[in-house]
Amino acid sequence: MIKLVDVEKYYANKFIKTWVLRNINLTIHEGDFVSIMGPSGAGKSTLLHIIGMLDDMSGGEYYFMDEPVHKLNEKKRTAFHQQYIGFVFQAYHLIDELTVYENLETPLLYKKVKTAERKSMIADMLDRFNIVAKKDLFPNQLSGGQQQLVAVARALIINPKIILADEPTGNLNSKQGLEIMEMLKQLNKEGTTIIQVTHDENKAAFGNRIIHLADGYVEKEEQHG
Amino acid sequence: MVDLLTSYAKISLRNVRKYKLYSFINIAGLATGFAVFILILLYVQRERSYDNYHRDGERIYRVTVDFQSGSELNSYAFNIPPLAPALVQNFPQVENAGRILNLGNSVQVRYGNNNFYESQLLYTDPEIFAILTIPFLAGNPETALNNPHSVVISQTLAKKYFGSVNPLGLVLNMDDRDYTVTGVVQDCPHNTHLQYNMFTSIERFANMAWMDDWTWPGAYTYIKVQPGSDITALEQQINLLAAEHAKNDSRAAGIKFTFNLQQVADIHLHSHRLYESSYPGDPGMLLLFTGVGLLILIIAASNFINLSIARNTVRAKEAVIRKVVGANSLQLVSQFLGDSLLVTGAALLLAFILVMLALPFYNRIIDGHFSISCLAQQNIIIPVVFITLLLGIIAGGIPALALAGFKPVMVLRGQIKTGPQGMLVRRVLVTGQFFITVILVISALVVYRQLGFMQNSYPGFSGKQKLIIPVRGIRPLEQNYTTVKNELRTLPGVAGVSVSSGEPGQGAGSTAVWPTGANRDNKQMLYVLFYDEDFIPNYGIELAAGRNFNAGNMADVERSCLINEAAVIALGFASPQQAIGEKIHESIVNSEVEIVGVTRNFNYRSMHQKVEPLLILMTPGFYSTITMNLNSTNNRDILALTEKKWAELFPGKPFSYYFLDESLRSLYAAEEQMARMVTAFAIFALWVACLGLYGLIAIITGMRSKEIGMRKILGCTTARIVGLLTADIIKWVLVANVLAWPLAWYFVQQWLQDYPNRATIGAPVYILAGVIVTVIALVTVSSRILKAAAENPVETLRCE
Ligand SMILES: Nc1ncnc2c1ncn2[C@@H]1O[C@H](COP(=O)(O)OP(=O)(O)OP(=O)(O)O)[C@@H](O)[C@H]1O
Ligand SMILES: [Mg+2]
Repeated sequence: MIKLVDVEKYYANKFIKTWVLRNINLTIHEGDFVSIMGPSGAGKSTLLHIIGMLDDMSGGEYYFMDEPVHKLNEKKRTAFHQQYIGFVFQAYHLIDELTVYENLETPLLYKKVKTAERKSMIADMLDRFNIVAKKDLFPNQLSGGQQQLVAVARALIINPKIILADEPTGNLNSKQGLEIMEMLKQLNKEGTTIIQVTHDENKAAFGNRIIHLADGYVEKEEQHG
Repeated sequence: MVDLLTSYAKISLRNVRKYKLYSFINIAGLATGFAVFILILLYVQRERSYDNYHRDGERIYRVTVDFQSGSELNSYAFNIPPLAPALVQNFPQVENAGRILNLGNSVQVRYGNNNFYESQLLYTDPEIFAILTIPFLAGNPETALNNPHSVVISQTLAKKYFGSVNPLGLVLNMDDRDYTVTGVVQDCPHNTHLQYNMFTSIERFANMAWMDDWTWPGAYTYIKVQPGSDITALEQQINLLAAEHAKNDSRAAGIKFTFNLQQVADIHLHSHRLYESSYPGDPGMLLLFTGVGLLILIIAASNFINLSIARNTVRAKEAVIRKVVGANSLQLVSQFLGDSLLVTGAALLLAFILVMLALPFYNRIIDGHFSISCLAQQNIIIPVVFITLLLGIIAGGIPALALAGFKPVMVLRGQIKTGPQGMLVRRVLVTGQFFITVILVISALVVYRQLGFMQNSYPGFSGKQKLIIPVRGIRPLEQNYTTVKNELRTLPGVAGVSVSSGEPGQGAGSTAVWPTGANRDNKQMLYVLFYDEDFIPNYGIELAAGRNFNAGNMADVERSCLINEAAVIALGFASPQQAIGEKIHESIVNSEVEIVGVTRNFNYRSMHQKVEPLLILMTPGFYSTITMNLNSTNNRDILALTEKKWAELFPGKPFSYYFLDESLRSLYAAEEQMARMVTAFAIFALWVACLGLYGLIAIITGMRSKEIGMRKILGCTTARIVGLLTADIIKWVLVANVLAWPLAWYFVQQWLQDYPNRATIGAPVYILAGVIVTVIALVTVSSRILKAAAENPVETLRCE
């Protein structure tokens, strides 16, 4: 489903190149559950952004469902976002001016989901994440953990083929964190491909593959079951 | 789609509410800009619409004439009465020609108990109705004026005198003659140079010598030419024809006649001749107002665009998130556009409300008759909507385009900031706004100064405490002026009474004059006025040489004249003394008169003109104005007594009066109108510029709050911080002032050039404008600056 060939990323700044990713070769199959680990600054978020088509590569090739992303136009990328990719940001990135309900609604609006169906999908999500009571609050009225829940819910609501989650449980207590992981595991079982970034060994263990990133390189990869 | 739009609308409204200050600056500023623009557009449209409604307007011309005698050129809106019939006779390309005579005075109209003075009675040829579009509601335009004792009246007059009764065939009494109503026409539209209330036949004057005088301009002459006629050729042919007639006329000797054709729709804006039938428009003024309107709009628009861009960073994050969850570029751009169109649309709506509220005042300022329904014309709606859309698209489009250049991650990681260049652009914009504002403020001050100068300079006579009573009719005072004067003088509170052809400020007729002695070839057009012996002393007019007219001296009435100092020079006399005893020929009464006195130059017209050569005669047939010098302040009593006396002296004639100082003031109505208009512009510009300034200071204090906090911790006093911030902003206002002065100076010089009597405009005016603008700017920013400086440093630092 995803194939990265010799992907690299650097920031050029006054003659000095700061390398963030080097020599990344990675193939992710449909149905994979990949955990990316590594120290802070290793380039985990950057890699996830590239996979999520939010950032450009400095070099290399990237194929998403056999389409060469590095050659794709804006329109196609939008279509991928709309149809296939659910993204959970490390910093949540909810729309501040919209309520929880409206934040969840937004992806469905772009997907042109009918009103009735939309309502039931949102109700379902609010229910699953236990945030029904919060649906009319704005992001700045929520705790960090609650915002994170909404961010995850927003990624899941379009039933994406692939979920890209940057530390989706970083701000949750362990019980909530585990619940989210269970939910992801369940989705994975139903066929959703998942790539998550985490610092937590236990949570990484939910994945069938763990990729260790250090200083922009893939240091090692572990395979599970 | 609808759901998406609802979502966009929701967020837009929340943003408007969340960023109240920005929204207020945007909407209020834009609304002001739009409102000013709409008002100016109304004015421009009105001015340009004059006489555009005549059928076959491109074939309708007014024929005017220039008289050139010596160095004196007089361009008349009138023409000579015999021309019109001659045109139809001689030139096949002239389909129709007609004359209009407007005696200018009111007539007393009576029907039953209705008894009023009416103005704008036009004596016309019946052909006029075939040339100009004057729609008849009743009667037949072709035959209505066939009989000299018939009258065609406006709808309003028909109602006023006859109520709902059909007026056709009924008899109106006008100045003691009976006229049968043979037609009712639609009321005169406001947008025609030729205002009318009633028409009657010019036949009434058929026996007058001047009706066949090729040297006397007095009748407006309109023609309709055949399609495709060569206008320049026609002009030349007319010149030849007139020259032929003038050859045999001694009165025409030494005068060169030149005829001109003016298309009817061009008259209002492009004809500025003597005796125009209504106050002409000024194309320069139109251009000026349009320019100023656009400038104010630009100021408002730049505030709007400026603030839209300032909020870019905030909006960018939202846009990127939307993109991540599936929005395409078009949807994003349309959201941005929708957002800014919402603001411009709201501003437009508010602007229309403002315009509706402002219309009554505006009508007073520009002497207009605009109603709310005037706004519904496409000439207003289309440009205004166009500008609204354009602005919305620019203000929404720039951030949208900028966004396309950013990578999503850069926005989300907060790596995009409006740098110092952005601030510089904003400062330059605000400076530009103040630059324009300062120019407008200087202009307003200058117009007021010039107005004050013209109204307050001593005109060479005393206009105080003078009651003017116009007497209407034909030779209205010739028989009884001595009785009238004596009777009125006995009233308590009356210091003196004089009669004349008109009071100062009214203007004068003109006549050809030449000395019969040494300089007999020096033929000059002189203005001519008719004064009795009391006029000059009562008005305090000084004599430079000789004597005033003497009471009861028949020789003075028939054979003496006074001239002014300008006439002394024009007629070629060495000095006023030298002119005394000289004889001149004048062509009004066609007689030889002796110069018995020379007056100092006094301003018998308005301060717009320099004092031209003047001839003063004593012929009672021309007296039509009574001036009463009052020496009491209780005008009410005197008026009551005068009115009573009037009823005895002129039984059946309505009494009307006015005070000279008021009528003199009204001579400067155009300048007053301009002064009010420019002041309004200056205020609007200042208001919008201050909105922009307030926005700027809000951004600056917001951006520098951390720095301010730091400075305070390091021991900087609040006063010093206030000083720093104030200097930062006020220096731009000062720069705007300094840049504006030279340009304003240039405009002022250009404008004053047209005034022979002009006020001195020195540096204080410019400095005053600078002080006004700077102080207002200071007041605008002070509250923000004080608040920012007073803030507890720990608060601002903690939240970083
Ligand atoms: N615009 C930029 N210019 C230069 N360097 C950058 C830029 N953006 C990111 N970096 C660098 O890229 C590196 C990788 O950042 P990234 O956010 O991917 O790390 P991470 O592995 O997600 O860390 P964390 O666990 O803290 O989230 C960092 O060292 C960061 O400083
Ligand atoms: Mg990260």
